[in-house]
Amino acid sequence: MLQNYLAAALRNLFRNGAYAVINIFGLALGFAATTLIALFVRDEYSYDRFYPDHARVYLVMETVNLPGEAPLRITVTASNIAPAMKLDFPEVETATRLAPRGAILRQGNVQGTTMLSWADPNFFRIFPTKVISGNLDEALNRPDGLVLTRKTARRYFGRDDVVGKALEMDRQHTMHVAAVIEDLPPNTHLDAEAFASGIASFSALTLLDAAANADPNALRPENVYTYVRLRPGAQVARVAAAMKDFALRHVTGQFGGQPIAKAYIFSLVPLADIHLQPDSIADMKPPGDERTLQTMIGIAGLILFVAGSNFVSMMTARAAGRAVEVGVRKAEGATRGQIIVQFLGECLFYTALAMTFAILAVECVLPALNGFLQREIVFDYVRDPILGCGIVAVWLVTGLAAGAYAAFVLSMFRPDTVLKGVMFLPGGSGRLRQALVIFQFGTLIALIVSTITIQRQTQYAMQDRLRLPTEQIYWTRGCHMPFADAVIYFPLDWAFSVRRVLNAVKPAIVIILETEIWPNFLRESSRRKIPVLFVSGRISDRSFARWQSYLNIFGFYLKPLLKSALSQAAGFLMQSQQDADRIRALGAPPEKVTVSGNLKYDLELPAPTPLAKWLEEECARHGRRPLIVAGSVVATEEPLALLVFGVVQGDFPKALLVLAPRKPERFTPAADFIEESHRKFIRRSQLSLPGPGISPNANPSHNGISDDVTVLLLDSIGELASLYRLADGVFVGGSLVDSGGHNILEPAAFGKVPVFGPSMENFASMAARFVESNAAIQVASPEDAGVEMIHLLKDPEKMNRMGGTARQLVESSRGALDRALAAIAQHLGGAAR
Amino acid sequence: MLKLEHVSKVYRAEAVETAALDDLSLEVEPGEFLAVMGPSGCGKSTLLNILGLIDSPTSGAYWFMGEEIGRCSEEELTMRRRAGVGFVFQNFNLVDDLNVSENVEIGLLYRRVPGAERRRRVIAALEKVDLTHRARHRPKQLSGGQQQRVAVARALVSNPKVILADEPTGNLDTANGEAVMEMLSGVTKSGTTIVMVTHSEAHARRADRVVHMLDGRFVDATEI
Repeated sequence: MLQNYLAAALRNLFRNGAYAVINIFGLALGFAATTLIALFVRDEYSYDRFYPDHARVYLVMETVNLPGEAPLRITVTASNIAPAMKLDFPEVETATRLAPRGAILRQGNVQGTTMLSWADPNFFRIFPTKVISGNLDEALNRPDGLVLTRKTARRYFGRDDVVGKALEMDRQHTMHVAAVIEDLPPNTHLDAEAFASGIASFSALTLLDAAANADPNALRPENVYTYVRLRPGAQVARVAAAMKDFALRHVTGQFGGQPIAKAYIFSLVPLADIHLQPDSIADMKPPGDERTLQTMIGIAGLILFVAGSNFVSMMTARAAGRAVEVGVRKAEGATRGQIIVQFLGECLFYTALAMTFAILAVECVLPALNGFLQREIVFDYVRDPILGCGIVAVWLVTGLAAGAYAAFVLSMFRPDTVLKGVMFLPGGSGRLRQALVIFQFGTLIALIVSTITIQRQTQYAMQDRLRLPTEQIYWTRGCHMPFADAVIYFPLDWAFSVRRVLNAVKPAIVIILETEIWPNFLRESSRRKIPVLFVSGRISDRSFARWQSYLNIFGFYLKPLLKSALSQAAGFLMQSQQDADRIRALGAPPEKVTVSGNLKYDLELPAPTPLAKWLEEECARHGRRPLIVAGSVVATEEPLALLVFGVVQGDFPKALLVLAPRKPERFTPAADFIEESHRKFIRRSQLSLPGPGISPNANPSHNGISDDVTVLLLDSIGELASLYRLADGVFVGGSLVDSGGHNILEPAAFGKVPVFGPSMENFASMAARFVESNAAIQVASPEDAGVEMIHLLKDPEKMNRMGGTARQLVESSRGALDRALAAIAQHLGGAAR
Repeated sequence: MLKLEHVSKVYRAEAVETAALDDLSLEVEPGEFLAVMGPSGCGKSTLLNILGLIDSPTSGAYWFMGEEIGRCSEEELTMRRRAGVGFVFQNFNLVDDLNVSENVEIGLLYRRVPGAERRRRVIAALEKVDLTHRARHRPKQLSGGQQQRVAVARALVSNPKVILADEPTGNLDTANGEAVMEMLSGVTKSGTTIVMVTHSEAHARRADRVVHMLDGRFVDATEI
């Protein structure tokens, strides 16, 4: 019987070829996507659950309510909280602390910076980890005890079995490796490379405790992670209820003349929940987001439903092809029940095939997903009963649900009509099928549009330049910029999301830099009487062209919409006349538009650096002039910059080049290019000169430029601006390749003449202005750049004249900042900050 | 064997009623070879469907092998069908996805015959129609005559009491048609009752009795 059914099922599958492929693979794809989402969600929920007794372990967290500010959620506390909890609460069985600090470790010739976590000796009693060698229980009992992860052990020693070996810390202390543990798994909130005993006299914990003892009533620094484990059967609610008084007892210090204890609320966060808490200050790792997880579960369900209903539709649509078979079987004595069983079984068989392909697909994709997420998600359906059962359950439910409908429809075929060749297909009017198809495609379209939108927003936020005046802003998650209270994403321009953000943030004024026109945002702000000021606004050629084409096509609708949106703004302070004209052309009310200049001109001259001083002396001592500075050189432009220098070298053999790549990842490729050009060079990082953000060099070479060295590779960040002052010739990169150019104001402010190539699209008006005023030179090729530089160097009077003009342009364009601040003050109706 | 008494079959489509069979009465003896003739649309196939328990009459009584069928549910009809009816159709109605022996096997699948026995009987049936050498072929690989022979084998394999044949030679050429008729005649000699609908006078003459139908009723040959 089964053989007969199986033969029919298989051959029907093969007969339909492409159809079968689409059907089964479509379902397999749905299964695979759902499985991957389920695996990820499960991993997110699994954080820290592998620690024994994790249900009794809590992180002590603070919420601080300062007057006039939003509550701050902080995951660290002062150093006295842990011992205080142990004393005050009999429910607390163990309390432990963790204080991560960067430390410089050295073993032989290997030196580096490592995040060292100072821990109380009982730390590993709460957080036991897999040990590779050594005794973990005793490891932190000795003041010089170190526990390294496998990765750290390999980094400093090159191997794992290093128990007993010594490691120098911060150039003064010697620690000994007491144990080596397995790297911490990804699904824990803890992030550590090495642990050190907190009882060391120089440990962060000891020092904090000592400082607290010296001045018991002072404000304490809060930089210690405090964990407690409660006794079995203890009620955490009782402890939580007593935390208010606990705060009053143990939080010391004053702020603005008031004791801060009143502002503190301590809470106990269960260990397994830490990862899914909202973003807080001092999270060791970026937390997950429970709402995201719930959304993903919903999406997984939708995908499964869509895949399943697609499968059902196709199976039912193909039913006509099986009509004869059903008729014959019925004529030969098959009951309806038997027909249903046959086709249900067939469906289960197809679904099983799909599930098999899905499992294969997941196995193939999972490593890539793990790489992308930096996780180690495991797909072990053999040993993991929940996963295995889940897969079987999904197979059964999908197979039966999909099969039920098709089998039902098929079993209703009447042999008399079917066998006579009359196609009278029962199965309802097909309304269910139609509804399924509509729902299916609607869901798919919604999912695709959402995915594309989110992906583009994310890409934009990550890759597009931050449009702020300073060149170098590095934004890392969880780290707060010193002048900002918070950094958030601008809301997608839908009314509900804009409203939520405005209600949450309640800005007194919104300042938009360089033009972002979002109609809903403008309208909602205006409704709430929040002034929106466009500062340093510009409309690039490309944007303007795009707006023009939109207005041409959708003019009748878009024009009034744009006009009304722009009229809601409080004011437009545009960079140049052209930008002002353009924004007026788009519909901004003319009386609100003024030209106030580019904020970028309001830069401060950089402070002199030790490097600049040293370089100036070296050049004087060895007669290395002219000094050519090639700054902000971008990827693949390095050989072109070298070419410019080569031309100059032809006439000035003692010239020296400072080559400054724009991005750190280009330091090594730049060095390779210099070597390929057969030039001798030194790296800035080899010099033992202090500088901003420079890591100390283990083996400083002697600080000098020998005569055969012609290039100084500036492999550091933050020192370029100070070198412009010394330069005789300046080349500004990003312009000889199609990159859009870079800011030429820094050399210009020192009275140097910037030389740049054709690509200056991102600084078009600035570049045009300087070139027209004879304050900068734009060339078409590297050779031309070199030739122009030679002309300048041989005509000092002209160079000084042009440089003077350049400086003047910068000076006279200042004031954009002041004008902006004045406008802001006016709209705030009070003192500007 | 088979007895119809005042049987009518009426189809209702919206407000229009069509009577496919109109007050028919018929008796078929066991082992009889009955031929039914008549123009298209006269209700021959409907008659066959009712006789073969694929369909139920709207009114009237039908005795199948001595038992009154009346208004049976689909399940009960199926049960009785299993016990004793085999079909041969004009357009063969073989399942394309199955090979010849699997097609013949369908005749036994739903009749509670164990596997080994089924295989034996399938081979025996194929021998009867002289197609054992094509056991693994698919219907598409056979000629029309061969396909019909497979259908006949399928009908025979369960040793039914009644075989209902709806224009079995309609899609075959003379030679193949003759061959199929030979088989049917042979079957009838072993006691099986056959009711056959046909257009061919020649084939009808092989039957023991011929009845004519027109507009859902039996008529004299002369009235057509």
